[in-house]
Parts: sequence; C-alpha cells; structure tokens
Amino acid sequence: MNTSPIESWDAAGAIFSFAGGGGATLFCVLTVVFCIVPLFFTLKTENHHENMTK
Amino acid sequence: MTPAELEAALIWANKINLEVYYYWCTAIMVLIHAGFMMYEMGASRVKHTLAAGTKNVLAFAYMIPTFWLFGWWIYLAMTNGFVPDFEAGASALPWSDSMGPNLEDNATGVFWGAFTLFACTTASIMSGAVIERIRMTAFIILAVVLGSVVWILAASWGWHYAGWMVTEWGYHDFGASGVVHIISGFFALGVLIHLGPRIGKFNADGTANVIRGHSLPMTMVGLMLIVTGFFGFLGGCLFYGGGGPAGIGQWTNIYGMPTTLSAICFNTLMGIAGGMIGAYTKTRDPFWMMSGALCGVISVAAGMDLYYPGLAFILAFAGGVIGPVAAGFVEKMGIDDAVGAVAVHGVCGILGLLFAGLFLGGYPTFSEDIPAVTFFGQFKGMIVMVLLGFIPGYVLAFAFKKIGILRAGDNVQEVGMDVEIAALAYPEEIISDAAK
Repeated sequence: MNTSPIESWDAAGAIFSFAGGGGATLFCVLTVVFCIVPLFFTLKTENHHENMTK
Repeated sequence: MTPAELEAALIWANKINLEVYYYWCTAIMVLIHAGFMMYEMGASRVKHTLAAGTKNVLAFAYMIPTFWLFGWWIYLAMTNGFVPDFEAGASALPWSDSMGPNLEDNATGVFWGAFTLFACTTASIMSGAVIERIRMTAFIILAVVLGSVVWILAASWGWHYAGWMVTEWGYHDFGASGVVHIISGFFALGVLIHLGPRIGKFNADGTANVIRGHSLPMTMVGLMLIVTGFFGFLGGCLFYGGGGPAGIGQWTNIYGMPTTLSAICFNTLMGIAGGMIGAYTKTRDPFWMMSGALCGVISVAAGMDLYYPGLAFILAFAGGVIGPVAAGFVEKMGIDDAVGAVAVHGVCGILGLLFAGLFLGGYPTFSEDIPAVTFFGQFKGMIVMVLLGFIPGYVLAFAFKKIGILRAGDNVQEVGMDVEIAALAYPEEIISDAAK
C-alpha cells in the first residue's frame, strides 16, 4: 500500500503516512473506537466480579 | 559564512535545541508517573495493590490518545473562554499536518508531548485520592475528562499568553499551582464527595481510623521520584527562544516574561526543602515529610520564576505546615482522601496563587496591554480554578453514582480490588497474612 504523501524529500513538510488524505481521518476514527471499546470490556469484568463475590 | 548564513544557522540550532529540550523534559516527567504509581501502590493495602498500579497505567495510557484527539485543540482554541476560536485551533486537529511527523514543524510534537504529560499528572493526582474503592471504568472516564478537557481548558485560560485570565487580570501561574494543582485537587474533592470513604475509615460517631498502606518505603521512594520528575515538569513550564539577542535563545515563562533555568533551579530546590522541613516540623511523619516536598514546591510554583530563594523557602515551609493541617480538616469533614491530594494539591495550589499575588506586585508584564500581577487578580484566578476543577468532578461523579458505576461493591472491596486483576502482587503466603 502506498501511503506516502511525498515523492521527494526536497521541501517536504508533513511526511506521515496518509498525510492530507482520507486515511488519516479513518485512523482518527479507529483511535476513538479503540479507546472506547476496551471500556466496555472493563465494565463487563467489573460487573462479573461484583456478581461473583456476592 | 555570510552574516545571513550565520543567522540562518543560529535559527536552525535554536530550533533543534528547543526540540531536544522539550523531548527530555517530557521523558523526565514520566518519572512523575512512575512515582505516583509507587506512591499509590505503597499506600494501598496488599489486596488492592495491583488495582492501584493498573489504574495509574491506564490513566497514563488513555491520556495520550485523548490528548492527541482533542486536548491540544482545546488548549489552542479556547483562550477566550467557552467559545472556541476554530482558526487558532485548526493546527491542533488530529488530522492536521502539524499533528504528526512533519519536517517543517519541530515544535508541535514536543510541546504536545510535554502538555500530555502535564495532563497525565493531573489524572495521577486524582487517582491517589480514590484508591481501594473506585471502579476502573469510572476512573478512566474521570481521568480523561480531568486531563484531556478540564486541566487543558484551565491552561488555555490561564497558562497561555493569550488566555483571557492573563490578558484581563494579569494572572501569573508560572509552575501551574492553579491550572494543574488546584484543578486536580478540587476535581478530586468533587469525586470524593460522591465516592464515599473506604470501608472502615470512619466510625459511627464520625471519628476517623488510620488505614495504613502496605509499604511506606515504597510510598516514600515514589514521592522522591515525583520530586525528581518535577524538574521535567517545571522545566517544561519555560519557553525556549525568542527573547534574547537577535530573537534567539533567551528563556521566557509561558507569558513571555524573561527568566532563566537557574531561577527555576534555585526555587524548585528551595521549595522542596522548605516543604520537607515544614511538614517534618509539623508531623514527624515520613509520609508527610515527603508529601511536604510537594506541598512546598506547589506553594511556590506560581511565582518561582521571580521569588528570592529565601522567600521561596519560607513560603514552602508554610506550605509544608499547612498541607497536613488541611488534610486533617478534610478528614474531619468526613471525606476520605487516601493520600491527601485535596490538601497537597488543592489547598497548596491556592497558597501558590495567593502567595504570588502577595509577593509579585510591581513586575512589568510582556506587553503594556497586559495588566500587572495583583493580589486581587490572583484571588479571582484562584476562585475560577477552584470552581473549574470542582464542578466537573462533582457533576460527573454524581452521574456515575446514579447509574451505579462509580464505587465498587462492599464485597469486592472486602475481597480486594485486585480480584479484577489477572495477577497477584505478592506470593500467596504474604497475601494470606497481610490481607487480613
């Protein structure tokens, strides 16, 4: 997959993968998702132990 | 080399120096989190040890992506109050060219990193207060709101050269007594009111019992690591470049007023020492002696770029005495703050702002349009910080309490919060004796 935003290092600015393209937005959204989903697993674990120790 | 080439080389060297400086400030600040983790694990009983440590690790981990997603944007966009300046914040949007590797921008990444570590510190301040009974999900969300929203909103208002508290009141908070410590301490207070005390902390008649952590030596070493990390924290409060000859190389504080690293060195060390001796004089307690170092440095942080070192020592001594007294008062109010975070950070943060108001009169600011430091300006700033910290913590904790996700059940607390962690802190034979 070609993710490079540049074709030459001369006068290059943003050099991160997908710079200036839709890929960057996609990975922003995925970052949000991957922050939120583990919270549900944490909540599930907490509830499990709340019930188990009763 | 022509004069023009020489000037270009100096500017380039200045840029790289700035990058190197903040990179290593950020690395040193990580020690604050190593310290808080040791501090809080040591202050926990054996059966809660790993839960306390895990909480610290997750606060650190969650702060980084959330501060990248929206924390840095809040700092740049919210200087006017609650109405965002979208133009000012545009470069901080997570998909902007500045928010990733960029050969034309050596500054954003290291500044973002340093501010992220400040955000992590705010979450760590809150996390110690709530050990042994808060649920992890609620804690993570509270930590994110505190670190990636509330503190950085406070910083945008009072720790940014264009922040409205600076431009209208001459608010001066060099080392973040208000924007980090008051915010975190009073956010923690808001949470503690709804969270309630640890089981067994208070008797039926309202008197308090001492709940000893399982390792005071671990707590003391942790506090010393926090003190070490403060050198990165306070070093990161300086701005490098722009104020010296040819616009290159002089340190300024975050408000653009010239200062030096030496100034910070004098008063960080004098603040630490004054706080330690003050707390030792008041309590003879090794826990408070080390917490006194924090009390001291926080009490002088707002004005440490300008204090005479002897003055800093005396103010820090006062902070070291007042911190434990304030912690006793909080306990008498029926609030179980396991590590004294409200007193150490909240109350000593108040002292820091008011001391600056009392002792920094007359200094010119970086622009004729900016008012000078006054006690009244600092006092108003303190009120804003207290409310800005307390209200979100109180409201959010209230909401979590209502939906039943704030506090672990008594059964889980009795067994130990580590029941939710897939590991043991110590061998079984130690647990069986110590956990009783």
